[in-house]
Amino acid sequence: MSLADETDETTRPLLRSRAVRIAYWVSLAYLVFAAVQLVLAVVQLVTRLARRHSGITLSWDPGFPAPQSAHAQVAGSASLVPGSDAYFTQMTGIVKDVPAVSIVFTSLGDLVAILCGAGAAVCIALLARRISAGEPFARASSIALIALAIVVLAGGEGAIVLHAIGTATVGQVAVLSPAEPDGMWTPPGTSTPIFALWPIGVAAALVALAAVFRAGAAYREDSEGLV
Amino acid sequence: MAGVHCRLDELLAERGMTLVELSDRVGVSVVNLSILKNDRAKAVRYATLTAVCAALGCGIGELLVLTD
Repeated sequence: MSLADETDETTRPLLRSRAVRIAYWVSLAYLVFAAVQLVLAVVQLVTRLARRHSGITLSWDPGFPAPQSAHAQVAGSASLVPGSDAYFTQMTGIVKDVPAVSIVFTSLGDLVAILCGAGAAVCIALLARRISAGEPFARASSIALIALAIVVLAGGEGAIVLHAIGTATVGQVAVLSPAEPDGMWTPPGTSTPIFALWPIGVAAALVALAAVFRAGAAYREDSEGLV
Repeated sequence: MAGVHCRLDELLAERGMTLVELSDRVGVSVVNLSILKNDRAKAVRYATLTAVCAALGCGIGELLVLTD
């Protein structure tokens, strides 16, 4: 036992902290869940590729304008304002001949999102382990937080980009429509965002937290051997 | 090089007191008092010094002495 361990009375209650133990076990449980999700995602990728010519369940943003009558009057309930821009943003159906590249990119996005969650769980488990060992300001804690920031930033943005590429490569999904002159209706499709702010915000917060832990480590070092 | 020696062991023996009893009286853990007793402390709080001296009925100069 080091001198620092012996004198670190302040962190001793952390050894019995139920919240830290729960965080540790929840992280481990999430890792198991992520492993199952990973297997299911790979199975889904293979299955979708094998069945893409006969039809696979697909959700997409059709960018389809909501039908609205200019003169209809609705009373007594919330209603769409005639002439406003309203669109259906998601359709789900069994679609055949979806490009393989679209299926692959969408599944890769799912895999990256799962791995991002798993990476976050590993970092939180390591952090909880350090804290429950009575060493919250160990060097490993700030390293775990920096790693967590990188995982969230790279994984979060990566998953969004891959999903966007997957969606973009679907192009347009044609729908049979007897009302159309050629019996076919092709919604215009809309662009999918390829960037999100939340991973940057979360990563920045984690980097700031890592700085706090580094400062804590410096204070701890300074008070070693203080009785 | 001169160092600081803590005479806690001698003072406790003179008063027939144990480290555990002193710990109960001053509210400082046995672990920390042991560090102080074995000259392994790098710094001492005024509060610790005051409480130990009050419990032992001694002055700071009797508890801590400069050694060669």
